[in-house]
Amino acid sequence: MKPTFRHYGILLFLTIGFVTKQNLSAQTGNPVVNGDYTIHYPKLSNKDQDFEKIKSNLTTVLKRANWIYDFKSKTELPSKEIKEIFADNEGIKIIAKSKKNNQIYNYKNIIDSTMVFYSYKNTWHYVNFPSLANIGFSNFYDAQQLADYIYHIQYPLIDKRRDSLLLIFKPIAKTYKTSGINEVSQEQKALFKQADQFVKQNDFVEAIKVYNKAININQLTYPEIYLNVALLYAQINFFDYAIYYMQKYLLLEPKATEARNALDKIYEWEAIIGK
Amino acid sequence: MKINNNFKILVFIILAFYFENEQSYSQENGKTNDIVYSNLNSNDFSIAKNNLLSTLTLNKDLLQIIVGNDSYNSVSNLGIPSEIRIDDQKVEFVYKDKKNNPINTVAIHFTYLLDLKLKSYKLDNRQPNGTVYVENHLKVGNVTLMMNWQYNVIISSILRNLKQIQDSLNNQRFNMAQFKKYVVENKSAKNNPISEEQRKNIIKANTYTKLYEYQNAIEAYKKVLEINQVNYAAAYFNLALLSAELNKLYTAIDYMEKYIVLNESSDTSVAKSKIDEWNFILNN
Repeated sequence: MKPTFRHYGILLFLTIGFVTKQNLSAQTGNPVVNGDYTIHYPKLSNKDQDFEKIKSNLTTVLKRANWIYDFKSKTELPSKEIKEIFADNEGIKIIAKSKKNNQIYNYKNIIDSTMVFYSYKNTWHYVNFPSLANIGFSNFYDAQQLADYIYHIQYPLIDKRRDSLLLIFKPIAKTYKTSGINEVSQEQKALFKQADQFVKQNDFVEAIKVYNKAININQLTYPEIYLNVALLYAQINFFDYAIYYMQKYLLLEPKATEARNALDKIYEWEAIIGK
Repeated sequence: MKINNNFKILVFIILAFYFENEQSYSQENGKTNDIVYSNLNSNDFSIAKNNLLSTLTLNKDLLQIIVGNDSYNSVSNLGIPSEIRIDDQKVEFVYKDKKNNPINTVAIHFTYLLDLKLKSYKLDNRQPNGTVYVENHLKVGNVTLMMNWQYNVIISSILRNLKQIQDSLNNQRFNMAQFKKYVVENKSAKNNPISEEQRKNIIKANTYTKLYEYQNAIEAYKKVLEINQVNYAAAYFNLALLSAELNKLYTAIDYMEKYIVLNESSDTSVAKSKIDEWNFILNN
């Protein structure tokens, strides 16, 4: 039986109709299926726990990992060969020791790297730290827990870094307001067309890459790029990036007609990650 | 003399009828009036509490307590309690004599009653030798009060007393009279625009409902109301529907009534029909 309030309650006050160049009306916050891969996202679900408790929980979850893939040595450590695995005190570094050759895998930078939480064919679930390690689970809830614990420690740092980046961007954004609209170059126009095509094919990752190329050519020509990129990041469950790009858009165009909706979207994403 | 005697009895019966009628009449009158919210206070709670204690102690030897786990898979009958205590927090059934009994006290906390649907039901207890005991059960969470079917009236009076306590506690909790007073006194606050902080929490609540996280949504709406109680009436409507979804029907009804108070001028037929629906579920 479907409860009725979803129709009443949500539509009573807010109709979140978000009109952009790309029509991205799909609901965010659900796992995104892309071929064999499904992209999930970590949540700040354990707010009240202190660092010591989370550290001990992390080690218990890590022991349930089925294997660890090390990107540096390009070797795979199955759970049978893991002698010891635990989270250390210094900003969570994961240390794994193998039985065979007593090699130590030490991941110091795990707290600084971005985390991708995805599953393959709904059977294997990975918490991936690009160019560091890929931790695989057969149980989805273990993987979700590991991602949540690490994200809980990462989040304050992510917040700080985002603020400092926006501080740098602020004076640049002011020059946009004073100088007026710059002309869009031919090269950028071609990139926009390419990105549009990728969006039509539901290939959001490629679209983001193309948009970032356009941003690298000139940051300030076309503020709607930031809006589109933010929405695309939200589509693939990368909410931290989405919030960052949306805030950049708001710095460029604080009085636009879509600024109100943009701010609402930021609140929505903050709710999804459980801030 | 005979006539006189009969006359006495007749007068007595008529008097009894009169009092009974008056009592029921006043109750009906109270339901239609607005005073029904204001005349319930802490005094009402103590009266209900004393009523419960007297009915329980009078019929102590007829009552048996059954305790079960949360899923109610395994139950054990503790038998007749040796003592019944009552205070502001809970009712306690004490077992003194049984040395082998692992449970010494069984407590029903009144706060547990707040959103509970109380109902007694009939149960046939078939013994291996073929005899059938017809029992009357009143289930309050994990604790069940049990009596033989012939004492049906007593169980229903216990039920009524518990419902009295429930009502008085719920009325203390929501305090409708105070809310109405607040609405009248702060008419200007009703027209205040929704602040940024409120809007943030409204959007958060909406996203939580989309993700089926109803408890988080309720907390977000409560934050909206902390900033301004009368500013955004739809919060009450949504809170009612959300708490109904979490099976807290008394809370739901109260939120809906507050919504109706705030929206007196406009059409509230949907809200009223929802209240009727929840009342029907609670009473049947």
